[in-house]
Amino acid sequence: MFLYNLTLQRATGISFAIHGNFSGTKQQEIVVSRGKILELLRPDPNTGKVHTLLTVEVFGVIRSLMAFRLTGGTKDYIVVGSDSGRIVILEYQPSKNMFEKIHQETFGKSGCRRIVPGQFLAVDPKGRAVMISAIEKQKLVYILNRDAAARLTISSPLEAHKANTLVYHVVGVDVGFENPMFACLEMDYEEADNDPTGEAAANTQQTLTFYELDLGLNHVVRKYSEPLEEHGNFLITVPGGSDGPSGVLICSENYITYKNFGDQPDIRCPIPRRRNDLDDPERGMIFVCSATHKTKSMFFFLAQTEQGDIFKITLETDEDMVTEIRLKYFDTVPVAAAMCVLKTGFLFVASEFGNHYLYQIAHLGDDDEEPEFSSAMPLEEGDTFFFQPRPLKNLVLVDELDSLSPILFCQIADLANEDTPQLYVACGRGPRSSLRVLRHGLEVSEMAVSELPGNPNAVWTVRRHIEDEFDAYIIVSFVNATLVLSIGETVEEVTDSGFLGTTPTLSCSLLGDDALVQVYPDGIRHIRADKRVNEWKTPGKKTIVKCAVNQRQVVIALTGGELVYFEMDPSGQLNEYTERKEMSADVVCMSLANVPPGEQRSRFLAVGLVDNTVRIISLDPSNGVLLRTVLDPVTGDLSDTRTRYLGSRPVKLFRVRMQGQEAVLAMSSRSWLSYSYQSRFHLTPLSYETLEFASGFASEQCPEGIVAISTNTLRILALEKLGAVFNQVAFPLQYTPRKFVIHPESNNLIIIETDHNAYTEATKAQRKQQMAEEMVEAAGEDERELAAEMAAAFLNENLPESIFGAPKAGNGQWASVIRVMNPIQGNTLDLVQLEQNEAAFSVAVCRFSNTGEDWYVLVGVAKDLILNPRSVAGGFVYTYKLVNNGEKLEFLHKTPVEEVPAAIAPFQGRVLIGVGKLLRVYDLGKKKLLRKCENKHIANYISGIQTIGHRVIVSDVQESFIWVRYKRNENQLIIFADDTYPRWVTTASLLDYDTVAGADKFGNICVVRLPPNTNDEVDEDPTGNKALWDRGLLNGASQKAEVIMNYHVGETVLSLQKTTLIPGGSESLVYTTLSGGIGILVPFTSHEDHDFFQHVEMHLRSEHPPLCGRDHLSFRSYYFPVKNVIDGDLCEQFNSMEPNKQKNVSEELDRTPPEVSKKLEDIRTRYAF
Amino acid sequence: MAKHHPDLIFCRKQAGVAIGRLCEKCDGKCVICDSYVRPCTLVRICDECNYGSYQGRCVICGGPGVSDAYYCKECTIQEKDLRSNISPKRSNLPTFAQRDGCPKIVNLGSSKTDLFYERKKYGFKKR
Repeated sequence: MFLYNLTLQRATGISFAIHGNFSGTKQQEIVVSRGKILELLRPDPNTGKVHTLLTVEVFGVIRSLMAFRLTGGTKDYIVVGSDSGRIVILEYQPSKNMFEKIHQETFGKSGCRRIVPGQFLAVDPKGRAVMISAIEKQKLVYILNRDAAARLTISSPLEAHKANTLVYHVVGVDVGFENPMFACLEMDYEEADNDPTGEAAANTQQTLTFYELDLGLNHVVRKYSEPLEEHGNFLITVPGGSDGPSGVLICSENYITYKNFGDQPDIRCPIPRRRNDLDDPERGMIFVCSATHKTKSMFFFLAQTEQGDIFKITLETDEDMVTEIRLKYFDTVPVAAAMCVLKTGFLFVASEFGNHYLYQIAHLGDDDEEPEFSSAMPLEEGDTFFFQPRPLKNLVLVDELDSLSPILFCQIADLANEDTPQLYVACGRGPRSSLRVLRHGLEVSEMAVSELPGNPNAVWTVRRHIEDEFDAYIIVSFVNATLVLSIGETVEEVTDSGFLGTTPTLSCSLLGDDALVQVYPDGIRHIRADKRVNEWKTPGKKTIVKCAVNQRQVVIALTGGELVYFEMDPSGQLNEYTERKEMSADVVCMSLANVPPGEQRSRFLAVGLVDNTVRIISLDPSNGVLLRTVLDPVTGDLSDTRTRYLGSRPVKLFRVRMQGQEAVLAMSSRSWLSYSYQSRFHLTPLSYETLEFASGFASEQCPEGIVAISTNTLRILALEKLGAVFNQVAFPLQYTPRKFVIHPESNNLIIIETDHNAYTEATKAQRKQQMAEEMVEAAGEDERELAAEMAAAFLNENLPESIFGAPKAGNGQWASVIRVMNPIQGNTLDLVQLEQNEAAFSVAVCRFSNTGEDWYVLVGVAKDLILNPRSVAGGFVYTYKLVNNGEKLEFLHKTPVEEVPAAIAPFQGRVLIGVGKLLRVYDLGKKKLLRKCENKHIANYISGIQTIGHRVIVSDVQESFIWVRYKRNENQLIIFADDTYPRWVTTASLLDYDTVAGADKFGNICVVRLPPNTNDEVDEDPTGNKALWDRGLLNGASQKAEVIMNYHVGETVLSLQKTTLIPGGSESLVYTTLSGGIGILVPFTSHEDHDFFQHVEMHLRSEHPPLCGRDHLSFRSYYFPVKNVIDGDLCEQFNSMEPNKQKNVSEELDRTPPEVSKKLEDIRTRYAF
Repeated sequence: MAKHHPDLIFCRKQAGVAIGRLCEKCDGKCVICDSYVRPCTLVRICDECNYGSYQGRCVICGGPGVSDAYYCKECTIQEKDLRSNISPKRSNLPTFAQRDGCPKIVNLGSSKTDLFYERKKYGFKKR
């Protein structure tokens, strides 16, 4: 079996975001890293929309990202720290739209290792040096400079190693133009390591260490080190030189501290906390990310706490001495992984989980009544300030970037009866989680819909003058009339446009600079700018059937296949050419290309005839001969033909503009948009109703829209999310969804949602009540009334948890619900709240052979589970009966078990339950489930159960798969085979009777198969004694599975399913990843294909090495050597290579570049989109 | 060469931007495994090994360099081309993990001379 890996949707979660002027223009861009993907985003300051300019997969783990600019430069470079053991400096090339690797310096082994640098990056704010640091010991400093040709140069690395130290964070200190300085949060563990009593370990302090790069000596010195009172988690560099006081802010638990060299005393301010917070009061508060904004006159920092509250931090200075830190509550947004403040006044928030946001900073929070907290305010040690969180005041949401990250579970099924299956994806975390339904298609935003008096059959837009930016008229043609609408602030009907309204229109367009032309069945109407009208009438009884128009030419086809040609002369007159052209058959369609710039006419006309041919006719009058080329699409004379089935109706094509480029809108029973995006050709259906006719549309409100008709309505549409593969509908959930099952009769979903460190609704209400009572009690006699009022207000207060976060209950506190949901409408049909500290881990819907047709839902629940050190008070299996046509859960009974029931699977009219490491068969009883059979030989913890026939394939949490056979007569579960590798299986899917595909938590996918002789032997063994007693090596099973394929995806895969994604397509293995990616593995159908792609992959590995310096082969073989899988993501990078390289590669393959890219596209469209 | 002369010692300091060279005799060899096929990664040596009169010297034998030195594909895949800071005093142990850092041979003269006397001492006949 040979497989081909394709990504359908790239990861959407963001791990780092940096901003800078990467194109070298005034406009600021954002570079984000999505694990193994580097992406350049440009927020449009006018519309507030974020556009993706470039996405590159780097085939390595991006561990740190920094922007830097050489002194006096205008362009920012990108420094990437990755797992490649190399430092890479990238430059964005706007002309080619690609990242160019300027420098790649090797310093160590590959992989995320303790002492190989790459985890932390810090740049000197003046762009003179960069420090790259490992988690432990090693730090390297590279000096950056410019050579004579103003190119960036890099020096040999300078070492700043210190053994036995751990590093927590590194920043470059802004020291102006003095020697570059780096500040590190470090911890020395040497003493703690050598002291067996543990006393030294308890006293170990974190230190703040400054490293100075002496540019004169070309050497790095450890300049100064100071122990810290609190344990810091990150550093913020304070502007220095002429812009500020320099130094660093240390963010630590509950405090933020300013430190600098010299006489500067430490300035320390507590982090304010929410008033009346339900969180555990013993829990400290830390800042998790920050953004700095600096202008010539001022600077401030925005720092976000782990609850999502952003504080604006300002420093008060007295002659370069900082005297005070001031904190002011700014706003609350979802907890971010990174934030960027742009010069245009936008705040980009890359959320830790879920959608990312772009906010406009409407106010700086300077003059409102929000209290300001200061380090100068007297406070007892351990006391802190309090503030009241509130909805957004200073920020305005302008754009939202959909993100599926994290995807915890996914099932693909056609529950909505739409032919094409939908993806039901459980994603998000905590109160920000949702169930999303993904459909292949482009999201359409409807700008306007208006009813028309009849059913129109065509629509066009025209401009009034060639230099106009926007369209002036919309012309709608009916069976016997034409309606003209003018476009302004609103769209209104007009009669003075010069168009003939009493006849249907065949076509209309702008002719020359400022004239309009209307083609109708009886003639052509040429409307000049001053409203003079010239008409040309068809001869005799003939009428015009088809026409083609561009800026200067008009060609019409009369009944009987006669072509008449008109051209505009320099005076603006439309002249008929006397020579007419008879075609051999009726004309069904024709088209003229746009006039090339600087020319008078387009030289070729394409005509499609009834006899299935397309003819290209030359319109060049200079030689007086009509040149004719017949291109037959059947024999393939037309080169590079790519065919796609679009729908059941004849296809109509319309030319529109998308992102400044030509695109084609194709309409059949579904509308498709064919466009080129990031150098890849896309053909995507629109997730919208069937359209009949369309035309491009440009107005002030909607610069790149589409005006279309559908039955009797006129619609103005906009396509904003170009490049998106899926159109999604999201339904919010309460806690993190863990799993769901589909009830096969009603198609309802039964979802289990479980959160650690959370309160259930009941506990939360109880806690609130308790706090309110305490508030009243604590108040003095005279304040009692006021306190009661405050308590009432507190009880009524209800801030949405999806933004403000749910209260953190503490370790070992669990909350869980079971939800029955209709996946089409998204309404919750039933909701069962479990008690506090009951955590649902598994769910199954099944029938029991002893109860007939009823459906039952079994939910495995853990009680009082503490994760580390692990302890559990036991578990239960809740049994519910599905009643009311699968809409309600009727509680039957709960069965206590001794461990966590982490996997449940229906099996031969009974259920298999994995209770910790025990595999058991249960049957339904009156009072509880009845234990029937047990196997105790699974190694650690059963994480999943698959069944086929009598076989049970159990996945262990760290020991891969175990094949178990159920002997009905003996009532025994017998292990007969297992795998040779220790895989930490997260999910598995059966491919056939002998084969199982699985994914592990390190991001690998594997397929393992029992050898052909295995199954026979065991099936025939009548007693099973051999397998029972004849244990293999080291307590393993006597028979071993073979590895069919191994592949490293690079993101943890949490669901696998064998399914077809498009109607009529072949089956593929679909996987979803924790970072929000969706991919497929497809089998090759022929040896030639496999051979071809193997060569493409081989050439691309050498010709187009990955951007961050990691070797592609070694990345895909991260944990297990890659086997039998060809990486389509690498192969598809062929399209983004430079043309001459493309040519070289394709020559090696004995093909042309279009043939190669067609082949790449073919394999994608055969299985997916 | 160090593959066949276990007493040769690599420098193994953190390599920099200087490019290693090979002399006429050693031209084409992989500096780790002496292979003549599939040269792949350019050899970088540390600044000290490229300083003053050492500049442009052969990485293997110290002779005048004529061409750039390369690691072969096999050594590249095994990451013997990469450099990390393993203390130089241990690097003469012929184990896998130490094959990192600047690959300049630092003790060539003595090893060649030693070899001559060793041969004599144990009575090896000159071929």
